[in-house]
Amino acid sequence: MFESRYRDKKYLSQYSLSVELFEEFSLKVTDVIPVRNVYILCTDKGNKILKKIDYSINDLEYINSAIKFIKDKFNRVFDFVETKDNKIYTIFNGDVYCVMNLIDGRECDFYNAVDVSIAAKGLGELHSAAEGFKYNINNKVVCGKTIDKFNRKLEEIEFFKSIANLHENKNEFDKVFLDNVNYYSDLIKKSIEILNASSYYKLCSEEDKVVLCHHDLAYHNILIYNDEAYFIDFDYAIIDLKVHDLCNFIIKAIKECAFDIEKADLIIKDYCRSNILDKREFEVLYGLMTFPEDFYSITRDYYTRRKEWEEEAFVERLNKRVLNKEDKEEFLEEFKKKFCID
Amino acid sequence: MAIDKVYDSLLDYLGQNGIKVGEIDTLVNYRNLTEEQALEQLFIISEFHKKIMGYNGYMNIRLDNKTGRMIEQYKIYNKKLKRDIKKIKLNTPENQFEELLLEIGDVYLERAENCIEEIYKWDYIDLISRSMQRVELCLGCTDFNHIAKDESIVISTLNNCCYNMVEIDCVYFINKLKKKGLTMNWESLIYKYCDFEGLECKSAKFISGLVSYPYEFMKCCSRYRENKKDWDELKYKEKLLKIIERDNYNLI
Repeated sequence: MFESRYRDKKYLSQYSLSVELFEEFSLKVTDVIPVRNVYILCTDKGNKILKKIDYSINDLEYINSAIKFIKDKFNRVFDFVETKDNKIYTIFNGDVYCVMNLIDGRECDFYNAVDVSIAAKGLGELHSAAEGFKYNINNKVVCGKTIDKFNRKLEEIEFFKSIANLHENKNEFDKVFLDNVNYYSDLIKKSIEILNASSYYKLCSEEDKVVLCHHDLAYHNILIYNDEAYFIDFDYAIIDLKVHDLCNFIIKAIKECAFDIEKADLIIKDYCRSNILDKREFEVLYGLMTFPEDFYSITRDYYTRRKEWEEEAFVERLNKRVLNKEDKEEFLEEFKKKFCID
Repeated sequence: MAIDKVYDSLLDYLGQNGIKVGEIDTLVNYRNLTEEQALEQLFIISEFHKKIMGYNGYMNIRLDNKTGRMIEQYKIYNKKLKRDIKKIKLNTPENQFEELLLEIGDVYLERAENCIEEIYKWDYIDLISRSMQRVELCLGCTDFNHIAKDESIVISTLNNCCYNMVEIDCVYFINKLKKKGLTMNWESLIYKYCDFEGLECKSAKFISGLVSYPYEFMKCCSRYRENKKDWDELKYKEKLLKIIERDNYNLI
């Protein structure tokens, strides 16, 4: 329970926990408690979340528009608390802060079949409500760009390979990476082939297939309350095919369970209790799931020094992903058979 | 500090419900443990569950949630062992451990798969739902030196407490006794425990399924696969043989 409490202590220490800041939101705070990279505030108006924003105001306005759009049909997303000036943020000591109502739920547990089922159905509902959302910020509209993105990622992987090969004294990470990189490069190529052979571009042109995707469906961003799923933290939300979000959710939910096909099957069934998927979407979903995002992201984070982790942490994570290789391979084969993908 | 507050909140809750956290100096000789003593311990565990059930955390910050984890872990063991055996059959055994696995692996795999099948047959999903609705918490460690009762219930630490189905503490307890080499009427203990807890017959079947699961065997194979211990293949073989020798319980 307590391990993760201060994982983001460096970021948390940059917060201003000032009475003046709370007053901007007309709140009297009696207690604060850190959770991940935010603070829970115990206030005279109930429990709230204080969040320091590390992206632009434009991005924040985009998230606000998205939430407003979704709320029209789906109420189980967070609410911003407005400031005295009716804004959703305030600038305090040069930093941007938001306050949101705390949802009275608990984090979804991907090991728990009931939670996963509730979350999958909720995701179907969220996507239904998020259908038709439009916004004019180009980098938020990802629809139609996936194949190009995968090609770019393939080039990046090849570049990381050349870096690792250049190292005269190869470390443990280099060795594991080089032992596996060709396998994963082939997998990226295969993923691109599947998408090219599918109706990917056609689907991107169909309005009912494109939604606002949450794009960060980690267990802690899905809260369960009264047997219903609530979705929080839309910081990474993008406009794309709904199967993109579904792909990320399935992979996150099954990867710790040795890529259990039955669990994936259940997720799809529960999702389809509140949404519809056609055969072409299954083909694209298969192509998206084939992409080795786990391997790509850990190697990118390592060779571009994106994360401040210890060397051992990188090696451990890479090894874990590589160990899952056969599980994922089997899963993809079974998925292909189950959903009759040619 | 926040951590203290979370601890304090749980401690308060336990205190209000008549549970103390402190040292336990009970010395139990497992060799001479009687069925009555085991039953008494199960009764104390069930009392603890009833008293702590419904605790929702401090400002929404909860204990670890381990509901469903054991079964998911067992499913992973099954999947991996199945693949290992398939590989050995394809490539011929590389050492004595693999020879042994080739000889007896299928029998254990079948048993392990039957256990999971049995668990699902008895409405596992429904049991999870009940556990979540009642906000059930487990001790995680059910030893005599971890939970005891004199005037009130005493537990030695909060560290292993987590959200989980109350059936799981019974599984931990019986598995511990099995590991100590004890033989008891496990089925009777399980049914009586379910009685203490007010659980239905399907919970007893669920517990029987989990207790029958060849956990030690599967864990040893997993350790060999992932090379987790600094053991050679002969040591792994020796361990596996010991596990097979001790393993005499299958209720399904």
